[in-house]
Amino acid sequence: MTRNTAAFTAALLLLCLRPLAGQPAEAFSILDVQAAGVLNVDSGELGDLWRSRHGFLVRLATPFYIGTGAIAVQQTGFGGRRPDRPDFRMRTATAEWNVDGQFSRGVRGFAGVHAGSTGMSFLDAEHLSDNTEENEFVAGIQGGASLRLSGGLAATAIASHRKVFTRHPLRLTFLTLGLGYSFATPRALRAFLE
Amino acid sequence: MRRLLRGAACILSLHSFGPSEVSAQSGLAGGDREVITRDDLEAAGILRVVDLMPWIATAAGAVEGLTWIASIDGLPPAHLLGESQPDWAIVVDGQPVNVATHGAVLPELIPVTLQQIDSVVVIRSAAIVAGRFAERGVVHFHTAEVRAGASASGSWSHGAETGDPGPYAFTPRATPNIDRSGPDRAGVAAYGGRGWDVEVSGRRIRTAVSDSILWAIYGESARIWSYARGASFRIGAEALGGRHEVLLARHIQVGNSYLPGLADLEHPRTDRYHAGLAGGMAAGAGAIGYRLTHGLIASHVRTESHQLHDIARSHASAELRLPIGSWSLMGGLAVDLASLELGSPTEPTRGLRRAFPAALASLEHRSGERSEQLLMGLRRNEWGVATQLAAYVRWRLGGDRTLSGSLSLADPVGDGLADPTRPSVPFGSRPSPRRIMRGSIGLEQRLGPILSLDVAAVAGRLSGLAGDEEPGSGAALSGPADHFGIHATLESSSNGRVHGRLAYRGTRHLGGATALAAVLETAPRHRLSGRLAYRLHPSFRLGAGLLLKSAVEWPAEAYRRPGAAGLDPISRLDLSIEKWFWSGRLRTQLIVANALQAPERYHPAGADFALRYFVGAALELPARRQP
Repeated sequence: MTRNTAAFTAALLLLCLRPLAGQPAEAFSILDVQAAGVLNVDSGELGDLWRSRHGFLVRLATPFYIGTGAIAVQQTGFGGRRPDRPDFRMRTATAEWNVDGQFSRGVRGFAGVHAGSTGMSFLDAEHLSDNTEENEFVAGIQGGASLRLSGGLAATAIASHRKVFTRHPLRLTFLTLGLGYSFATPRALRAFLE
Repeated sequence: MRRLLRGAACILSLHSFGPSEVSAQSGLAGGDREVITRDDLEAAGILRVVDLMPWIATAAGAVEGLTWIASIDGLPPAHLLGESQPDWAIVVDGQPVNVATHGAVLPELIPVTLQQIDSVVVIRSAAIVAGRFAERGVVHFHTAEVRAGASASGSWSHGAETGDPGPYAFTPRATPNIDRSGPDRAGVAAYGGRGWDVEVSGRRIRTAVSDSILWAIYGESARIWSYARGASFRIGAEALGGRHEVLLARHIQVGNSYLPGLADLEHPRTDRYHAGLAGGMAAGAGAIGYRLTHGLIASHVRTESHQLHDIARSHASAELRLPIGSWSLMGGLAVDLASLELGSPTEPTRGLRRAFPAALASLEHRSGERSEQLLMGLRRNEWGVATQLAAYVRWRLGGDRTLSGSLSLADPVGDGLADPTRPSVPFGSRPSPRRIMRGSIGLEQRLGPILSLDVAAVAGRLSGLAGDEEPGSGAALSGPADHFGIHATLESSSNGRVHGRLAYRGTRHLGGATALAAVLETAPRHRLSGRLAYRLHPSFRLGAGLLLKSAVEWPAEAYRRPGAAGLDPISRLDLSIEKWFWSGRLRTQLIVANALQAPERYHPAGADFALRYFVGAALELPARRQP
């Protein structure tokens, strides 16, 4: 287990032990749409060969039967450190499950697990390989906090660590900063989700 | 009235479609009868019919995961014992289905789609079902009843095996690319009228296996990809006090698939046709069941010269069941016609046709909480007449305990089609069929409102019927080989939220003929399988499957490679998450298979299956259930 994984696991456990404040919201009663910038803070061995670039994240979260559920799409870029290492885009679609709780007035925290698929598009790499598109399973953990600004608007920070299950696994840690907006789920959509 | 008629027809059809499969359950011990419901299939993440094989097969080998040489009763696959065909039966709604070729089965070619299946009944000991004495058990697929009015369903799934090179493909650490499986698609449309119903279905799946072991053995062509696709049509009607059903299907499997028993035999294409009529009707106080089926498997085999192997099997049988007080008597006649045609561009077509008549009978007695049953079969085969006997008893001892016992003696069915003119074609029966004698005694104990424990001790003997010799070595194969086993099953009946099953089968070989003992090693000495489903909410369910198997060893002649080869133990954990939307009409699922990333390999000359993941969605209109 890497240091990052240990730290996130500890954070997850701490949050799990913290009693949830107030009544949990009903499943699918609220939608929280978030858009954020993504910074890759650690890419393990991959970082010796590729330089990470900033990316973005779109995330949709909602109360689940226990905790909260979310789906997220993230794109990050990587630039080759040598000409024979093509730049590539990494798009990751994940489903998340989190436990959440109130840290203090206006500040909520959450931590959980995610799994999904990572697609990699290697740019201008046709002369290097026949295979310029790949998809791979990804799983990891995440934790974050949101600070309520006004109305449904909140500032959000998320840290995540994930493993991409390639033959030589990629271990990536991201920091995400952005804004979220919460609103009551439209009745028809809630009926569909339930 | 219509519901009453349908209920009566259902009871009759159970009798007529499988008279002794229904009653034989009373004497099966130690988990020898397993009912896998559609809920179980979904919760376990079964996306294809063939995905069931690792979970129901006790001894199994598959090169690419589509074609299996397998058994379901704890003994080695029949193909390794000297038979050419699996002598456990696959039956769909009472119709025997021919999906066996060259000693292997291709379950994905059964004539219905997974979406049509309501339950799968696995019987791991002798049973009379669909006009046949299946001495080594049966896997019976029961389809769901067509609902009144129009209904339709469709499914889509996609998955991938992990282990791609990723960006390391552009570095010295590059490894071969791993292909994706899917997308798989299936659809069913049905209409249920007054006393009749009709259903059409179609499916298309894509499998890809890219594995370094396969590349090493088979060369470049081992980038296995295979499309199985086809359609079926079914129409049923109620008449003469029973239900009658016609099932027509054609499925093909295109692509490189490999027969696990015959590692150098490659099938670029297999076509499968099925036409069947089955039904039942009232006859005074009794009931008559009948079935008439024809199945053809046309295999295009890539060997030294391209060949066509057409294997056709036709079956006709009927039986009469009469209740006499607390007794029930069943007698029936059956005939199987089997034909083989071999052809190639350079050789004339050669054919072989044989008929195998059989007589079947069962006698069952039920009195209070006791039942006894005797099954008998006589069947002409290529060696003479096969005798098949099985007796089952089940006695309630009082309280929550039930005692069960069984005794069976069965010669192999022996409807293999030997090709004496071409012994190099690995086709047809080898000499010395094995007679199987088995006995079991079991105790079932209820452990509370939903839990039950079933434990049985099993002993058996395999003996050769002819004095043959092991090819090449001269070692006698005909001596007996004995085994002893313990089977235990812990099962919870579904309480709506939790449903689970844990089954253990342990077998110890007690010596005997050396060659037979070596073959017995292909069956794992220890096998633990389990499944658990937890419904957190009516529209959200978590599922898990566990498969632990001890190491096995395959004899060299089982896969035409030099020397015997061992397989590591298997420790497989599958996980599934399901979420229903739109009031139960739409089901979505994420499945992770082999989550422990442990070695998962079913055949010495087969692929290693890594952690793999699948996403799926199924739409059903109207919804089968409301969350």
